[in-house]
Amino acid sequence: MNRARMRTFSLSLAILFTLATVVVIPVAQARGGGGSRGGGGGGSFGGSRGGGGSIGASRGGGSMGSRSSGGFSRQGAASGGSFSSRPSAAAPSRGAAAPSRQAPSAAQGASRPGTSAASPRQAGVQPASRQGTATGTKAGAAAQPSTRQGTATGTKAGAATQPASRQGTAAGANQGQRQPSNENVESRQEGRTERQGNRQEGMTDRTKERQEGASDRAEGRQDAYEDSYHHDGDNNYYYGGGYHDDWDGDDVAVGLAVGLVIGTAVGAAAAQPESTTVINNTTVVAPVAVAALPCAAEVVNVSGATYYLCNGTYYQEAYGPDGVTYVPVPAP
Amino acid sequence: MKNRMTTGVSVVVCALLALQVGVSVAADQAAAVAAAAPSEESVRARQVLDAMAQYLSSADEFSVELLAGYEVVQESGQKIEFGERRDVSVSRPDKLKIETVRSDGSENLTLFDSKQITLYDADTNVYATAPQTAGIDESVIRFVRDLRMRLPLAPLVMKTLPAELARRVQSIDYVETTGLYGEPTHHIAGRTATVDFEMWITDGKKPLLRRVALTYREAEGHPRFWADFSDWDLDPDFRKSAFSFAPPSGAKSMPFAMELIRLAGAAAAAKAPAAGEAR
Repeated sequence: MNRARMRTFSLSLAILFTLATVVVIPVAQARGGGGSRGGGGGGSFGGSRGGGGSIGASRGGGSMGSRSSGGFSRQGAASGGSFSSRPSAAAPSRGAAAPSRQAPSAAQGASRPGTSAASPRQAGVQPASRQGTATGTKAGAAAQPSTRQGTATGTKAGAATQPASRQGTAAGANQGQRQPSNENVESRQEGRTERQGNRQEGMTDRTKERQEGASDRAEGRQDAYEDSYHHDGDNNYYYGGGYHDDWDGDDVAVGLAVGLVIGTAVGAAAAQPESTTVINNTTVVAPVAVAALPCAAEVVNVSGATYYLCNGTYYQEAYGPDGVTYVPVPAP
Repeated sequence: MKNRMTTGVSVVVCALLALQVGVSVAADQAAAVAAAAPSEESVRARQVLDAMAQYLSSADEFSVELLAGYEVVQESGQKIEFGERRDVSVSRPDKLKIETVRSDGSENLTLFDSKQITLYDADTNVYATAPQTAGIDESVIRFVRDLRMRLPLAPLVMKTLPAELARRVQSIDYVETTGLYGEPTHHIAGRTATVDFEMWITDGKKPLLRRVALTYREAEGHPRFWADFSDWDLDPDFRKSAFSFAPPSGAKSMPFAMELIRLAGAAAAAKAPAAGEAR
């Protein structure tokens, strides 16, 4: 009997202890509160003592190695000192073999007029890649400046290298661009029908439509460029236009790896052999500034302005987030 | 007897279970209430922040010196800190001057003189200009967003500072009062959507920033930016020439890159159809 009592008593105690543990710990955790002063701190070179604190306030100093020589990148997510930043989905761009205080290099063999080959800028193509926040797509886009700058007739593959946000812009702009194309396709089909009766008249009509379409597309692209310049449809803080939210998001103040697709008329070439209308695939891409010219450029002065002619492309000097840069411009 | 004991134990267990459920519900309710209503500390921190923002934004003129640093996560994963000193002069509504000396010795000047936005790079002796068509606030936004130039802690020079902070800050808490700066100073900590920040703001009738620390928690390595403020002067005696810029001998003028890109892009867009028109 006593034994049974003892067993029951022990069982009750065990249950009580278990329940007390289950109840008390969550309550204590729920109450929480109060900034912990534990962890971190010490400014130790040997390592951190851990962190803590309900508001995430760590007093830690972090450890540091002994090396303090130059040649490090000084561009990163924190360098902008912004109160907001764009979440980084990708690891920092780490393409440069030897980090420098300038942006990471992308192209090789670039040279700046009047400077020696040892210039730290020489290898740089994207002067403004803030590698701490640059996305992988942006880095990818940055690797192909020459493709973008010179090609009005871009390919889909080229467009695919644009950062997602800019693709959004392009896509937004494209909606407007595609419309005239579709209209042209319809006109073409109608034209073919009419051609059964009056081929000559149909051709004249199509020619007229084509010319009007071209004019519309020209205006459309111009508008699309202005629109996308002023408000990136994807992220809303890329360019101007009165949208003030997140204007100082870190990515806003990030260099010139622009590669903005400003208008794409994605149309298929007409398969009908009798048709003279071809809807052109046109991808218009904003110029991408380069930190250094890709060749030993010829200096051209026109109407008081200085141009640098390099591989058939004219550049002008301009000032960007990381200093002097070169922007491809239309031929003077 | 045995049955009685078993019944007793069962009753105790049930009672304890009921107690646990009750306590959990109460804790959840307390947490919900706490989430709905900001804590005293949070309210206090918000008041400190608002007071600073209002005070600074209401000043017609001020000058201050910043010693700032920021971490950059290197390829190796190592964080390196760079620094700079900034002398900031503000004369509302439309004049701003920031003289910067970086830790590597390079110097530059950012100037809004009410007519032009100018950035002078002393290292390369070049300067870029763009028309200034509005006051400091709009020009700051244009400088940062449209011209993509760097201006750390840019909202602090804006008259809309209270609103700029209010729309960013998602949570805020009061950490402590410290005397480490020679006078009682509030230490507050808050979070925006992407950045954790801490501010040290002096107590009293002149709630001015002593220090700011930002942690970019979304960025790899969680790099930090910090700035120590000193020599606040809210009644500066700016000389007439304080907000003027005379290009040094041999200085080269050029446009801002983003302006040129915009123009060149627009020109390319206008030309594009001719290149790919019907064949």
